[in-house]
Amino acid sequence: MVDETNLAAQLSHSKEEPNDDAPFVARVQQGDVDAFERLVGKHQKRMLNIAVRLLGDYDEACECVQDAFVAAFRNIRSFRGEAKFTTWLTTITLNHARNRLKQMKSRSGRIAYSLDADVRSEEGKIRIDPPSQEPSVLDRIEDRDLQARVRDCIQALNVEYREVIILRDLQDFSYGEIGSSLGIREGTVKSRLFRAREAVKDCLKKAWGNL
Amino acid sequence: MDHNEIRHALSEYLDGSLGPAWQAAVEEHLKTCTSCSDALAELRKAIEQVKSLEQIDPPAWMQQKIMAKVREEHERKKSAPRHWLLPLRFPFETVGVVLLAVAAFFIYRNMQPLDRIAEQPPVGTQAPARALKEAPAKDNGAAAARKLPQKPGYRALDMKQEYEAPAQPVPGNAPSPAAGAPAAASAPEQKEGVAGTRPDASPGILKQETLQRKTKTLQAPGEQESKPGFLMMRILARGTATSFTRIEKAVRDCGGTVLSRELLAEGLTMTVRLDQAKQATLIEMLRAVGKTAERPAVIDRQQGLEIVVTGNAAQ
Repeated sequence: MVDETNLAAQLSHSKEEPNDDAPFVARVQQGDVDAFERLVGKHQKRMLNIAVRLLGDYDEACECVQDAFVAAFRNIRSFRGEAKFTTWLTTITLNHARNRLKQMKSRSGRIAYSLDADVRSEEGKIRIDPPSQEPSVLDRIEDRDLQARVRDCIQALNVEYREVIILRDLQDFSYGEIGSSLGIREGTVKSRLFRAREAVKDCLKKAWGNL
Repeated sequence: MDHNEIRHALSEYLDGSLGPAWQAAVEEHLKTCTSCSDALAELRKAIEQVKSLEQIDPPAWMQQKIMAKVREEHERKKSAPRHWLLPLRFPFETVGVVLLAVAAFFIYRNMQPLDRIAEQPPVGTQAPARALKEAPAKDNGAAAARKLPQKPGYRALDMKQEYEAPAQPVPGNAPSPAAGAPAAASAPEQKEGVAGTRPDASPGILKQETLQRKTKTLQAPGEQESKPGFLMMRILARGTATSFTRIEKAVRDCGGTVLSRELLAEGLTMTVRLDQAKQATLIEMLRAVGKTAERPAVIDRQQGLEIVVTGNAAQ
């Protein structure tokens, strides 16, 4: 019998973080630029990891995160506080990442799959983008075979499936937060997450034969 | 529940987000189904491996670079009111120039009537009775003479010639009184359009001149004929300055030309040349000014018409 209790506890809904961003957000909205630096320091790592996993390129992710924070500052007055600041900032980061991804694909001329295409082909096999042969910054940081394979499998997913698995399994967002960030219903989040996890599982099994 | 439904629920089962009924059903199924249990294990392992990906640290310069861009954005926002006014600066300047041009145009237009008024001699604007009591005209030029009221005998306005004594009658031509003796006359040898001077004029002198002119008229029949279509008129205006002005306006409105004016004790005398066709119209207009009395007269050696207009005291 699999000990699912521990796993369930690990995979439970994201930790309920106290909304300690609210005072800083309020000060920024009143014109305090220095207060925004506190928010940058607190959230830049998380936003960078979301962008890196989505874009698959460290340098592009750094540029994306900078643009996202500047956009957040520019539109700070439109943040009403109905959702967490993290959720709002994640939405901005994802939008910038998607736009940058389109630019990257058009630049490379390597549009292997449509962004709206299913993660599985007609034969039921997972579409996988062949990994780049050039060593990247990520290669230097993550020089372990397993992590490289996992990264590649995630990168092989279609964008909408990639987003949900990154937010859920890498950033511990709740279903509701994922739905808010992506603008989709919770049922759609669960469905996409199932298919994304299944695809990654099949990808890893294909790479190693057995997990 | 079949295997497909169970497999689809495994992801939520691992997240602990299944409802109690579904949770129990999945657990019950997993007790007896090896393939679903294996699938669950593989899914769990995959999720663990995904979660094992290391979190990547941002570069040390990233926060500074972000804040540099944010502060630049902040400065741009602060100066935004000046920026969005900048495109309006040109229109503001253009509007200013246009307004100045419009103002200058209206000022010029308003000045023009004044200029026209300044060009015209203020004839008839002064009450003759009052004028008689005022100081005589100065000898320092015609402009000064125009401004001051005229006493009898002094140069009338617009006089361009000195008064010339009437010529002596030619022997052999008996003077005969005209049917309607003219009450006043200008200098007999006056050229057409030029007024004569009447120094020290008085009613007695006027009558004398009238007779002289009448003689002159009989002596030179060839010179008495008026211009074809035109009529010479002498208008004696007796009344206030307002009536003088109205009479003169009536003459101009009928297309007539005021050849001379004389301000005398009994009133203003105007010599007028008028289109014969406008004679009746002018007389009607003069009747609106006051009581009129018309009679033939010799004016400037020409057969003409004399009209005495007695204006109302209230005018």
